[in-house]
Amino acid sequence: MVVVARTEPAPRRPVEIAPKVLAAAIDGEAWAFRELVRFYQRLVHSVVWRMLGSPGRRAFAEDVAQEVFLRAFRSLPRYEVRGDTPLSAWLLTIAVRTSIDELRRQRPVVTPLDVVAVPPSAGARPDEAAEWTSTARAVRRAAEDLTPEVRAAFILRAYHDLTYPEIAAALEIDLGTVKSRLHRARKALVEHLGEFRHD
Amino acid sequence: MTEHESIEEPILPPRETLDTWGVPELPDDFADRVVAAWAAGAPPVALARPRRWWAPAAAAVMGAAAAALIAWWIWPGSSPVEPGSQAPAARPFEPAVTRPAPGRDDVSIVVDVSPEDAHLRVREADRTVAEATGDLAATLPAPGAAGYTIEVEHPGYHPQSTGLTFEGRAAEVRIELVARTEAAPADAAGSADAAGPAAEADSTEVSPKTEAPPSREARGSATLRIGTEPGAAPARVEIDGKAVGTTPIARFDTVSGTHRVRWTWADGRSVDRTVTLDIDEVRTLKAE
Repeated sequence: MVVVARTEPAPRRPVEIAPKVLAAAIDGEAWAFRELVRFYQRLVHSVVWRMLGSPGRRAFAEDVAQEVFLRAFRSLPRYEVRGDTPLSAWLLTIAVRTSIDELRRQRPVVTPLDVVAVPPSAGARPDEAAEWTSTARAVRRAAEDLTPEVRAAFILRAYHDLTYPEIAAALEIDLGTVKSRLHRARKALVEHLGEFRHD
Repeated sequence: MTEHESIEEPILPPRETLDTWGVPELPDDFADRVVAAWAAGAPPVALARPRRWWAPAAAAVMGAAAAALIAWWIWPGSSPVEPGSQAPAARPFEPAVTRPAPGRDDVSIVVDVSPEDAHLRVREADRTVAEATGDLAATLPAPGAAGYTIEVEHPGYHPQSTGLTFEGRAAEVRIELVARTEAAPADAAGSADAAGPAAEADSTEVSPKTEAPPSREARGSATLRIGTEPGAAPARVEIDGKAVGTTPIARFDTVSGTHRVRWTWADGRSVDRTVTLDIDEVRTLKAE
């Protein structure tokens, strides 16, 4: 079991990168690319990691996260700086679509047994840590029961607070489909967490 | 009420529950690796070059220079005239740019590749005329009778090449690579003809990939690392029915594909798991 000694989850709606850095990145400045990656890497990686749903393939998730940024760099000149889409949401769109592409290419991975869990605090009792690990495992299994498209909607809503219209734009679906996918996600979560609570 | 509004918004579990599913940290040099990968793959042919702030000013300067050249050329008195003779007729416009060799025109080529970061080369005989990582849109000199060859490659995929001959002045090609776990395309080399001159802006989309049934025979190496959860006793391990030792097994080299792993403890308890490994994959499995 891998336990991440981090007590604060990543912020849901991140502050966006400074406009000057973004402008320099659009102009192709290498230092600005590096700053952009450092600023958003946690955001992008969290989506890719949860989308791929396979903790045993850590290096693969890093490779996919890298590919997300390379795709973003290629498309950056077309990003509308004064448009309605924040850069973070734009990157999240690329991240979920890249992850869905990878999931469609890969065969389903069976039975990863280790899980990354966030303990309640550094001084958590062993039983508390075990409970958190079990909860983390249940959440992960619930997510893995979902199709990539449903999982994407769930991750964007649950972990990144995207609005329904933003999710619809990212996944190129309508609002009704966003809601129905989140209903399916909720049903899977209730099944797994409900089973866990009765153990 | 619309169909959307009739569906209630689902309520997800509380944040503290969802946040138990954590994410590992990235290595410290992740950003450096991304930038290095970007620099290594920068295409020599301009495709999505970033806008330069000086571009509009540069264009204006060049336009003014061209206009001055034209004005000098056609201005009465600027060309040598014998006294008393009539001024020669204004010479036709000739922009100050290098023109292609007589008989050769430029052609427009668009290559769409999958996966998106595949590396492609456009070659004429043994000479590379263009290359890029990802899609390519370029104007190139028209090739000779043998046309161009487009070569596409990507790690983990079977490389492909296709010939491209032109009857018109534009061509659009899509090339999808086949992953190495599937059978290679039966005929990777073919030729594609571009649109005729009448379709000036049109292009013909060609997919040279030949559909081949996926094959499970293609295999490579893979590695398993097998252990038990912290606090659990060591267990004997069998892989595909064959005993391989007692945990921890730091490294077990095998082939890609599906395998059955069994842990057995001294008290007779056993746990079975089935895993599917990709080529070159390293997987860690633990049981309790």
